[in-house]
Amino acid sequence: MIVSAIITLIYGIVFVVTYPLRSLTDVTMSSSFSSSITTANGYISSFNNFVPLDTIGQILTLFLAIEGAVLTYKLIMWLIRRIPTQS
Amino acid sequence: MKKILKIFILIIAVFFTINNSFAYDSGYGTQGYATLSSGVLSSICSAMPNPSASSPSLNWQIEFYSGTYSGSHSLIYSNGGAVNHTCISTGGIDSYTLPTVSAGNYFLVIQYGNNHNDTGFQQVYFILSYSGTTWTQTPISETISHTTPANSSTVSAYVNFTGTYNNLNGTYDTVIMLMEDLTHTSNPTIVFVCDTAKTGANIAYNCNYNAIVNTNYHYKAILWASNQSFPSGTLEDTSGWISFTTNDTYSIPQLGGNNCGTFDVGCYVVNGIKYLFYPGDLTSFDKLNELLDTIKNKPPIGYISGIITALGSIDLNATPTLTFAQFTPLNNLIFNPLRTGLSWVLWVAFAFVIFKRFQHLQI
Repeated sequence: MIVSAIITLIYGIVFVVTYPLRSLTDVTMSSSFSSSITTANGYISSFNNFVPLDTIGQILTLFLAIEGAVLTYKLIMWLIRRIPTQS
Repeated sequence: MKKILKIFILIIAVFFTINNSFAYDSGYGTQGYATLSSGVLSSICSAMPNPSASSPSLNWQIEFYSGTYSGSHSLIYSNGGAVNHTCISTGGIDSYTLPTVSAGNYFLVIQYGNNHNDTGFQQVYFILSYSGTTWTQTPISETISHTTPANSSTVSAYVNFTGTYNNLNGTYDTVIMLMEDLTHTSNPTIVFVCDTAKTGANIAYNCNYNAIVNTNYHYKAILWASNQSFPSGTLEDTSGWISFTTNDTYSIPQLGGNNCGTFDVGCYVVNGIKYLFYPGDLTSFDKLNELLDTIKNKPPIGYISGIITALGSIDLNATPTLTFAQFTPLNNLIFNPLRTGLSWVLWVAFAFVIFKRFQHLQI
């Protein structure tokens, strides 16, 4: 009951806020975009022969996750400090 | 103090409203289902019509589809005068043919005994059928096995059948389909009912059932036409008439319930709170999901989604454009060892960076 009410409320807010967006037509990516991705894919694959791009991707993801966690922690602590009597 | 008293009275009122709705949520009619709370004497009533001039006597047939119930049902029937009753033992599926009657507007009461010890809520599905002395139709039933794959929470059972089930007067019969999970008898929801008012030829039914993923199920499908004017025609199943598809959708957990003592107010409050947070239906979840899917394709979010999708399609192991990168001896001798070494260097450098980062972290 309460869960459904909360979800319905969120739905209502999103529905109203996104009304202008929903009146627009769907995005269709141009064919040149997909062909450019395909072309880039070939060069990236070549480059991957020399440089471990998958490892770089994993490291970058981990780094961003750690930094994100630190930032979230700081944000929560900042909010807690806004509460009166909390220093 | 007054406020506390008011809140307490409100909670009690809410509880009793909920409790009563559980106990007497009965289905009426010649077919239907009801959820009965255990430990509570409950009943389902169904008024049976008068015999017609063309059918002066009626054979009544009743079939139960109940869950884990292991006690006995009482079937009480009366024409407004003398009350007769009989016991129908065991749970699962019971079939009982009532004595032939000559006239009268009868009613039936399906009553649970008050001495059973099972827990949870009982779902009872029933079909009350009657016909003239030429009762011929029998339900189609078939037991099939189906393994619910992973990443799915809902099983959609699909059944298609053909047959001459419309009556001679041009009015279609009402057909009911039941699906019974024969495997997981500990699950109270072992039986579920599909649409009950389909008409027309070659009816396709879709049942949605919240199944446990990656589990083998054995289902029994039962198809029954219950219209009183059901002709002597038959329901014919076709080869492969039941098929399953699975949907990765949200599922509602079963609403639990405690058997509370008469004065166990705390238990009542817990049950009330459980009920308050019970999602009830999936409409709100599905609607929100559908809305988010719609927005995902609209500008400017659609461009971001498109770029993310396109970048996700990049395959590092695709055929390289540069020809020398495809030269295997060169790769084996030089590039692969170099690449492996570089990977180690990058991981060590990353570990060092993280170590220094945490060393100087200001929180």
